[in-house]
Amino acid sequence: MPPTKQVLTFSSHVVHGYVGNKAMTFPLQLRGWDVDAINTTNFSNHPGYGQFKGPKVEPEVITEIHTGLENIDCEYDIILTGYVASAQTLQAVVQICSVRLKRNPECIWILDPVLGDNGRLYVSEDIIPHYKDLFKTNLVTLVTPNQFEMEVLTGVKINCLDSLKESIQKFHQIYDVKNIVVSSVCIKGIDNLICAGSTKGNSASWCYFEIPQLDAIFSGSGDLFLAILADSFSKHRSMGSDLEQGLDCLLLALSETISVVEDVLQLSYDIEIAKTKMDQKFRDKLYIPDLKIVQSRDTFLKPNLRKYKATLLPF
Amino acid sequence: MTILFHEEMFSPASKVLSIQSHVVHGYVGNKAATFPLQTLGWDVDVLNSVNYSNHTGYGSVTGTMASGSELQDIYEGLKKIDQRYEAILTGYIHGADTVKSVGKICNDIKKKSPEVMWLLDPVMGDEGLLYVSEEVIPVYREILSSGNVDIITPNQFEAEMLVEFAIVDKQSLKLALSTLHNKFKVKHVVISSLSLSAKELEVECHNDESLFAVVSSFIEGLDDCVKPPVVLEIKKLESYFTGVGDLFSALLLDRVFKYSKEIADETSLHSRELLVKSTNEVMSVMSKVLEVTANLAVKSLGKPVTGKIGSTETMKECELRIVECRGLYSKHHQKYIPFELS
Repeated sequence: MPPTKQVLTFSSHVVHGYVGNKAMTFPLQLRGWDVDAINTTNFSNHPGYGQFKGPKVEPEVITEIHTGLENIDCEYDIILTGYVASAQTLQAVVQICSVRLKRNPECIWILDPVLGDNGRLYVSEDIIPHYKDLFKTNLVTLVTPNQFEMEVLTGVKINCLDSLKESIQKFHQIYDVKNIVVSSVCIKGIDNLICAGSTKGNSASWCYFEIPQLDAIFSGSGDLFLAILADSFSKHRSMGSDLEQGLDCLLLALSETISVVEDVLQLSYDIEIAKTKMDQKFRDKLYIPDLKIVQSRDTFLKPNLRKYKATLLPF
Repeated sequence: MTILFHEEMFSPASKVLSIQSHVVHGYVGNKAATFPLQTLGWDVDVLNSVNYSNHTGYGSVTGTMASGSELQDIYEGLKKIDQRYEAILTGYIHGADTVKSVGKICNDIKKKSPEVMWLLDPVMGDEGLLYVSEEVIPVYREILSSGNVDIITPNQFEAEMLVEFAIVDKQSLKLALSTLHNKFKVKHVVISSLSLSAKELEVECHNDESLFAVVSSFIEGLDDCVKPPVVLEIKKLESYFTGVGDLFSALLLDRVFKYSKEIADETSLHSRELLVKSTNEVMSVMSKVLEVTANLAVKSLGKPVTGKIGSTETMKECELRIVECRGLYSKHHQKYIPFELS
């Protein structure tokens, strides 16, 4: 068994269900990570249920808890950040991570800039400039916006492969984040979801995968995607002798991540269908509030890896 | 790793509400219980009573505690979205106010669904040392008196605190157990570690360094009679490892729950045998987990782990290797020989 690696995560905690740290922790643990989870919320459940109870964790408390980790000399291979509720919290997290990354250049920061989805913001608008400022530094190694977040960050409206390419180019021009994955893009005329990746620098190209789309809406799938991608990316990165190996590492990691996430979504979908018998009168699409994370443990341990064909394109 | 779970893939996961502490780094409380239970197929709803950077044994710790009313508020949220459980696991809770609230939450769950299995680990202290406030003790007595708790897993000291006398020999042990069963209406009692000599217990013992685990079940319908307890001779658990009790309780909940489901006539005489088998299996897993933990600690430190108090580095190496042991939690091996204390 390879030695256990260490990851520090900043994301939400829900008592019930699988989003944020609850979605990321178990898969990462099964894949051999000690997960030190700093919770940014203590909610009963995620807001997708329409109601929830419990407090957000104040940024000062996040900083204080992190100081406790510094006091006992915790070091990490990866820092993962997902949903951050406010600009103040993001500032606290950036402060923490910049100190860590300067001290330990081996550590990498992988970040999902959670802003919203399908044209709607779920965070307050004043957090956006803070993300933009952060991405102009070279602190973050890999970032995973969805289509809407990519549009907000680059100002490019994505409605075809050309505009997707343009947004990635723009991202590389404006920001100093080496790797970017645009996690789920819907394009008119293409039935499948598009997942695109690009590495800045020695490789002047980008790639995309087409992923079959399930007719359902899931909560927590982005968090799961982030966790699996972080594990795969870290694994492929450390296997390469040269850390500057360009797009290859991202391609391999993405292919693995897509296989795993797709199987978890499929299982969640199948279980939900069996349970509800399509009794979903009030929604045009099936809504699946909780991924079947625990039932998917086989997938995390022994993923059924498929060779997704990546389309490689020049800029 | 060759654990395969295909046969369970479509069977719904059992659901447990676990109310314990959260530490960012290390494995105690919910951090020690959640992952093993998830590998065993449990959907764990994790209600955190504290949010700490690490456990208090390091000497330095930061973070916040939830008040009793905060926990109840979060529980209200769970009720509103209609969450139901098959089991409840409660462990270390920091203060009397919070223990009271946890009692209220669990009693509310049991009131609606009496079949829910509640395992309560009355964490109060060890080896004569109380590590919660004294006000917690009567609150635990009151909770137990509700008759809603199915299993408790005190250590010797905690059992003594509950019954208010010392356990010094076989007679006082038996009295303590019958008090727990009759006065406090607890169905299953597992005393996880009892440090009496073989002579005091009036049993044959293979090793002077041994400890005993005691298993006792209340037989319903037999005029409140208690079948003789069963004792397992176990190797002394190195007390400088933390989270051992939390992992033990979590695994015991899993086994007792699953074996209870298998036995149709659970209230009959099977009850004690089921508990003995469960305890034996869990103790066997624990000994393996501690072996893996000790070996990895020695490998990493380059010297044996010698004491509880030490540098931060030593404390870190004494954290249970919860992730590395992921293939062990489902093992069914029983390495101890149970004998009845008649």
